[in-house]
Parts: sequence; C-alpha cells; structure tokens
Amino acid sequence: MSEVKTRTKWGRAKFGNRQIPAMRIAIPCGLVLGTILSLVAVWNGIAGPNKSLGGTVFAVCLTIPATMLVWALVVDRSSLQGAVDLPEQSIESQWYQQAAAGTQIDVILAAILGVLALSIFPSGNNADPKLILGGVIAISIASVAIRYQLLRRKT
Amino acid sequence: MENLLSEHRKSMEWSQQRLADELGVTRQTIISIERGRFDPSLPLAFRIAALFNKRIEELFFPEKD
Repeated sequence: MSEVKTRTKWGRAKFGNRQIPAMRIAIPCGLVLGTILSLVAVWNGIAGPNKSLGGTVFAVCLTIPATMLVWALVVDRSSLQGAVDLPEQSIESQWYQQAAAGTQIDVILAAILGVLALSIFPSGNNADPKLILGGVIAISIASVAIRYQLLRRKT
Repeated sequence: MENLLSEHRKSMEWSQQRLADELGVTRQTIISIERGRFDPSLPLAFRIAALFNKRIEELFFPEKD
C-alpha cells in the first residue's frame, strides 16, 4: 500500500524519479491550451463580432476544462489522497463496466428511434448535425449515470 | 457466494474502512462482499485469505441452492 504521507489533494506527476505537483504543470498548460483554443475560435469567426471580447470569453471558459484535462493526463493517481490502490478490483469498477455496457445498447436504440423520427417528420432533413451529436453525447452520459446509480442502489 | 469475511474482520476488531485500506479497495467493496452481493476477483480473494492467514476455502463458500 502507498505511503499516506506522500499523497496530496491534487497529487503529483511522475517524471522518471522526480515528482512534481500536478497542478504546477496543469495550470500553465491549461492557460496555454485555453488561449490557443480561443485564438482558433477567433480565427474561425465563431467568437462573435467583437473579437477581443469573444476571444477573452472563450479563453476564460476553456481554460478551466483545459487545465483539468492536462491534470487528468499527468497526475499519478497513487499520489492522490483518498484514491484506493486497486480500483479495478473494487465494486465501483464493476458497476461502471456494467453501466457502460448497457449504455451501448441505449445509444443504439436512441439512434434507431432518432433515424426513424427524422425519416418521418418533414423537418428531419434540416436537422443540425451538431445538435444530433450533442444529443448522442447527452444520452450516453445520462444512460451511464442512471445505470450506475441503479446498480449502486441494487447492491 | 457466502463468506465469513465479516466474522474474521470483527475478530480482529477492524472496521470495514480499515480492512478496505489494508486490501487497497473501497469500503463499499468490503460492504458488498460481506453482504454476499459482490464476489471478489481471484487476486483479491487470495489477498483477503493471506491477510487473515486462512485458505480461500475457509473464507468463501458457494451458495446453497
């Protein structure tokens, strides 16, 4: 079992034999990534007519998720407070696997119903692909969350 | 699968959290195993048996039909 005293709230990133606080990497990388994405948004003209304001809004909105993404990629989970050593052997892992397997079926069913609806209704030909893909993501997230909670309550 | 995990844990005066920490799993995992609602993986079953200095057969039993 890992020593408790080496674990911190946000954990550490491992580079060879060195360990660096993960946030010390995530925050600057998140700022850079958020800025780059906001510049892409401005360049593509989706940041609105006021490029400075739009770019700033995009940067502010994207920096936090970009920071957390970098953190999730670099952190060594054995350095996190509260993290168990063998998550794959815990029951939560089984719940997630069962929920994810069921979600696959839910997404296929939703896609079938969606195609049927778009075929029947006259406005189906004008369906926005962005909304459709967003709907697929939303159904996936909702399905796995609901199935996970049901399994948790059942156990 | 039925088991004697709860009895052995209590004989050592360990809480469920303590046992979970010793095994490197979550407390919910221990709760579910003791209630017979979760069968541990083979590696985990061996770790449990080693922790209590028992054989697996002395801790886990198939359910009676």
